[in-house]
Amino acid sequence: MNGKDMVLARYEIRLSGLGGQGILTMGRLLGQALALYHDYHVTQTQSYGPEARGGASRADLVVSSEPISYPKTEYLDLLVALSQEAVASYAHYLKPRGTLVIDTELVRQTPSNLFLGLPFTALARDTVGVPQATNVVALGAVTWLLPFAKPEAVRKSLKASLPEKIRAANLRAFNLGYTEAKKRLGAPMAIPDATDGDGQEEERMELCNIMADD
Amino acid sequence: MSQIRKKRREAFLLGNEAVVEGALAAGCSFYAGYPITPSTEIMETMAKRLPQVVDGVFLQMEDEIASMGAVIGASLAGRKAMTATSGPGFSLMQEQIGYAAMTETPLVLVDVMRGGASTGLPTSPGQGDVQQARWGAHGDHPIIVLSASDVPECLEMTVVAFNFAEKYRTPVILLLDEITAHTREKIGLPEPGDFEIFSRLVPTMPPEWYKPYEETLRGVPPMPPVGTGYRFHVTGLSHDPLGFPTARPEEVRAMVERQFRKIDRFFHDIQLVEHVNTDDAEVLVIAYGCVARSARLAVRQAREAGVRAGLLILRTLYPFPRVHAEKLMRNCRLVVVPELNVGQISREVKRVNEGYTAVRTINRIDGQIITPSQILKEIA
Repeated sequence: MNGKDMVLARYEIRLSGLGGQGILTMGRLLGQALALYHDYHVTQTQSYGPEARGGASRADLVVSSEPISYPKTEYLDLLVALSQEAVASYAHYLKPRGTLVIDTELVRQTPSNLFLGLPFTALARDTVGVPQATNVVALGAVTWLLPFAKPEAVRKSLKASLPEKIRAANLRAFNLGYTEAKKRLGAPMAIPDATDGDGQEEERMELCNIMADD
Repeated sequence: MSQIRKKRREAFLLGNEAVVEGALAAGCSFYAGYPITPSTEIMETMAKRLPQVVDGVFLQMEDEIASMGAVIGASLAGRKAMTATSGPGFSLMQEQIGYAAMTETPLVLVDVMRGGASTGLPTSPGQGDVQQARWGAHGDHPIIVLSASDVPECLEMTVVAFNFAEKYRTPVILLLDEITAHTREKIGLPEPGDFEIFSRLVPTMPPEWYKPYEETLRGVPPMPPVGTGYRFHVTGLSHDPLGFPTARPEEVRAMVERQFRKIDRFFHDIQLVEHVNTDDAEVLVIAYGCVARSARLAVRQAREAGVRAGLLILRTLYPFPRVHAEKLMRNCRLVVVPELNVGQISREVKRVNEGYTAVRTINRIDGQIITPSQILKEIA
C-alpha cells in the first residue's frame, strides 16, 4: 500500500517545533530520501530563530514531479507540529484537506478535532531510550502517512547521513515510528488529484490582496 | 569509440554547500574566513573539503578584515582563493575589496545577504547589499557582481565567479540570499571536464623584462606568483607600470582607464542573464536571486491567465546587463522589478530605461520573500 509511484503537482510539507528537536535534520533526511531515492523534485527550505535552542524552528518541503520554481510553501498538505507554539502559528496554513500531525504529549490544544497524533517524545524516551531520536520517530510516522514515500528509501537516507555510532538507535526509532503509525493512525493519507487543483484559487487571491494591503 | 558513461553522482545539497562544490571544481585551494549566519555552511564545508584537496589550505581568521587580507595574500602567491560572509562582515571587508581591485588581485567573495542594516535579521533573507557590492569600496574601481537563484546555479555561478576573477584579474562578488543559501535541492556533482576552467596568465618573458602593470592589448597584465623570480611590487597607491607609487596625471589616468577597459571591453562575455518567455512579452519582470523563483511561477500563472508576461533573470548584476534589458524594455508596456530591498536594482533599470516604459517596483524589507501571488497581482 505504501510507496506507490504517484504523479504529484505540488505537495507541501512543513515540519515544525522548537530549536533542538532536530526539525531541520528531519527535513533534510526526508528531502534527501524523496529527491535522491524517489526521483521527485524537492526543495527544502528552513527558518529558525537566532537562538541555538528553544526558539521556533521549521523545515519546509515542496515535493513535485515537475521542476519547482517557488521553493517555499504557501498552503500546506501536511503539517507536523512538535510544539504547542508550532500548532498555534502554522495550523491556519493547512489546506482544507490537509493533515495535521502532532506530538500528543507536547501539544495540549489543537484548532479542531481533525488531527493525527502520537507521543513521539515519549516513544523516543521510553521505548527507544534515546530522547534525541524524537525527530526520527516522527519521521517514521510521516513515512507511513505519505502514500508515495518508500520506507526503504528513507532508511537508506538515514544510513547515508548519520554517523555509525548512532545509526542503529535511529533505525530502531524509525521502525518504531513507522509501525506505531501503521497500528494507530490508520491508512496513509489520500493525495488530492493533481488535475483537480486544490480548490484554493479564490482564497489565495484574497489572501494576496490582504497581504498587499498590509 | 565506446565510452561507458558512469551515472552522475547526485547529492541533496544546500546552496551554500553547492558553492563549495563549485569552488573546488574551479580549482580553489585556499579559504580564509570568519563564520557568520547565513554563510556559515560555506566555511564549515570548506573546513571539511579543503584538507582533501592537494595543497588545500583552510584558515579560520580572527575577523573578516584579516580574512580578506589572507585571501589577497594567497591569491598573490598564486592560489585561487575565496572567502564568504554576510552583511556585517561584508561591510568590514570593503576596504580590502578596494585594495584587491586596485592591485588587480583575483579573488572570489560570496556574500549571503540577510535582512536589514547592521546586524539586522541574521536568519532572514534580504537583497540590500546590491549597491554596496558595486560601490562599497571607495573610489572609482571596476568590479564584477554576480548572483544565483537556485542550488545548481550556486554551483555554476561560483565556477563563473572564479573564471571571471582569473580572466580579468579582478575581485568578483557573488551575492546570494538566505533563501538561496539555505534551500536544499538535488544536484549532479561536477565531474572534471564539465566546466571550462580559466586560470590567470603568468608571464613567460625573462624576469628582468617583466613589468607587472604593463599595458597589454586585452588590458589584463600577466601575473606571476610571488617568489618565482619576478619582481612584483604591490601597493594600494596609484602606481606606474612597474607597480611603484606615482602621482603623475598621465600615468594615473592610464592605469584607471586600463582597469575599467579590461572589464568594459568584454561586456558580451560578462553580462549573463536568463530569458524566460521574453520574445513576445508586453509585461516584463526583471528579478534575481530567490525572488526570481517567485517571479518564474508568477509569469507562468500570468501566461495561463492570458497575459503576455516575460521574465529576465539577472545572473550578472554589475556591470548591469544593459544590452539585454534595454532591448526588451523598449518593446513592452510595463516593467516590474521585485526585490527584497527598498529599490537597488530598480535604480539601474530606471537608469537604463531612460523614461521610455513604465517601471513598477515591488519592495519587501520585512525579512520575508516576495510571493508569486504578490508579483502576479502587479502584472495581471
